[in-house]
Amino acid sequence: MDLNQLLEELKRVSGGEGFVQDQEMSKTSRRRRVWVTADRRNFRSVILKLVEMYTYPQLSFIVAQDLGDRLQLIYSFEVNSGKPLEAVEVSVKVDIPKDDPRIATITDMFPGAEVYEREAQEMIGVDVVGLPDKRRLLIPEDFPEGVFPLRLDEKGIPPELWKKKSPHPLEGDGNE
Amino acid sequence: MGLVSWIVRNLFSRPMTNRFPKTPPVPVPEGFRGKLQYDPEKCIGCQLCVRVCPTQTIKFLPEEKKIAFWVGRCVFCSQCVEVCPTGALQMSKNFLLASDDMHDERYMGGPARRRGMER
Amino acid sequence: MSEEYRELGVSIPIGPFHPALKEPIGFRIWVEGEKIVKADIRFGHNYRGIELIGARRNWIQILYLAERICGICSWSHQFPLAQAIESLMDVRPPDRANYIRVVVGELERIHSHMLWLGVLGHEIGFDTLLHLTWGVREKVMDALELISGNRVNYAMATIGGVRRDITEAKRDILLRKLDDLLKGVETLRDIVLTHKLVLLRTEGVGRYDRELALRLCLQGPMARMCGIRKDVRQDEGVAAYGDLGFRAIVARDVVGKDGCDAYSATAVRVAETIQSINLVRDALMEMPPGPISAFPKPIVALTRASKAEGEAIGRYEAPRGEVIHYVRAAKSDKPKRWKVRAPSLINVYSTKWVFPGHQIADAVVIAAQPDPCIACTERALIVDLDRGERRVVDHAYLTELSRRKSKEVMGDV
Ligand code: SF4
Ligand code: SF4
Repeated sequence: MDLNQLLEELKRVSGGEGFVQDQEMSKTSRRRRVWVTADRRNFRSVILKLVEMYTYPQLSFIVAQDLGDRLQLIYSFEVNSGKPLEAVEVSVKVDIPKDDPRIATITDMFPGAEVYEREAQEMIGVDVVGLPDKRRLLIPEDFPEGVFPLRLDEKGIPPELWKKKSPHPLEGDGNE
Repeated sequence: MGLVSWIVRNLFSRPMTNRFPKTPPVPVPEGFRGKLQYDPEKCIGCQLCVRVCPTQTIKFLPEEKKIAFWVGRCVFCSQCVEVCPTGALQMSKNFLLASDDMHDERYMGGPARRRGMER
Repeated sequence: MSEEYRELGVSIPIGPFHPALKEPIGFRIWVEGEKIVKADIRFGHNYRGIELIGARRNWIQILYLAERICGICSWSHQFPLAQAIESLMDVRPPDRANYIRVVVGELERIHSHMLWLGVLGHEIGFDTLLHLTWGVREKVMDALELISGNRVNYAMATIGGVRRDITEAKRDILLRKLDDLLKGVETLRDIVLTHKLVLLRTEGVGRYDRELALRLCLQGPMARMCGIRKDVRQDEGVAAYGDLGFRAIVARDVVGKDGCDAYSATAVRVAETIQSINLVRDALMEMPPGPISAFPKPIVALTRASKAEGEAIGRYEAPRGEVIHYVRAAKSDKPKRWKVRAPSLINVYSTKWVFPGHQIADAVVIAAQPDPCIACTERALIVDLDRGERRVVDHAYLTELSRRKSKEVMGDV
């Protein structure tokens, strides 16, 4: 399917914006990306649409980021995998307000998403509703509660947790 | 060649690895990235090396308009050598850098003015 | 300890030290007698916060931080990051750079797969295999040293190309080395895929379901052993793989069926090693002349990248599966967000669904199957709650247990 057609199709379901990246990498291959935004309420139908259109899109990863005024999760899927030189990476961006950071899980569709959702949960403090296993994944158990390492606001790592000194015997070390 | 014949042949061949430090080290290849060498005469103080160094090994000394560095942090990427416009920085072939003292004389480069050396 | 633990009886944690990966692993398995009934995986014992550190470095500096995410896949992390930045700037690397990228990437794959094969041999008590594979691996390390100057952390990728050229003289030496290597690996293939011990200890062990593998989105050799023909090199044709007509190998191409077990994983990895050797040779022969980078100096690339804006994804098939890097830029010399997804994260996590039903002695093989460098596991703790007994055992004990099983099964035949 043509990239723009795919984008239109997804935009119709999500009601959001989107764009296509199509760049040349070498003589034969191109880098194809489709980015589409979706709402917290209908992003699951966008993903379901992908599952319908392509049997088993491969979940690549979930990016969790703090955009200042809101949080964002990017669900990235590889479609057309297994077809030489035809793979497209489809990324669905979902905004989450900071005062109510809840989002539904996709582990019913992709059981492997558990690991990415657990990571997103502890890194920026979103609350994934319906996630079967809500324990921490990467950061240790004795790390303070309510501190999320990748948050850029007051919930991020407080200054006293940063390591200030580096073992640099030269003067004027940037880390001091 | 089967498994057994391979093993038997290995019994009579030299070991794959070198018994360093009992024997001299294997010669390093061309293009090896070892300890950083600095020639203050050639340096024009452009600070390009400071900008690209991934580990903040290199410090700029504003008064002398020269640089100082501590190899203890260097990851031997040779990025600084590549950007230096005058060739003041070079990678040597010296890799015998292990020491239990982080203020070791061999780790320091550039004009003196280092806190560690004044102890 | 919680009630749940008590109900399930004996639990055995394996781990948690795995300094070789971004994800050091603690496995905890619950057993009834010899049978595993449940498994849990704990990551993060060596969490370094690299994504946060990366946001404080500029585009050139971050490449060398990415290189140090993993000691074995140093190219496989640097390259997708370089690709992501190229995508941000919309730069196409010159053709010669693409071919050199294939050479370095495939050499890295050979040495990683050889290392894994040795580790597998060690885990099942076949130490001869360990010594032979690691002997063969030395030749690859020499080849990488010849190209890049150092054995690990090659510092080869840069924005818009590669940093060192492969000269005619080097090419001839490399081609000679490859002939040697091919002979060694082919012998190894014939030994491994037919050896009785390997067959007994890997066939049917760590068996996935093809459907489960698809839904879990397994990556790399773990997907290909289940017959899912999925490989970024083939699907997206990164670097010159598209020009070289690369096609992925699945288990049924090698052993006739998709076993979805440790034996299929072994077969896929061994076949890929031979494929990689041929790819390196093809790339060396067909390499076009020309520049090796789109930018004359890294500082030019840095200046250009500092003007870029937007989001980009770079992908590459590392020896263990697909590595993805996401970057977001906003006209500054530092990324706003840098996200790394290593394939082992899902591959290792997926073993949670596979452990139940196996014997304790197979745990080491299952844990080693996704290639997480289980050899680095330092110690394990056995808690027998029924008897209120705690025993600390080390990895040597578990390996010993695995080896005893090998002796037993060999005795049966
Ligand atoms: S070699 Fe790399 S790490 Fe070492 S000083 Fe130069 S730029 Fe810095
Ligand atoms: S790049 Fe070269 S000339 Fe410029 S400050 Fe560094 S050493 Fe001196």
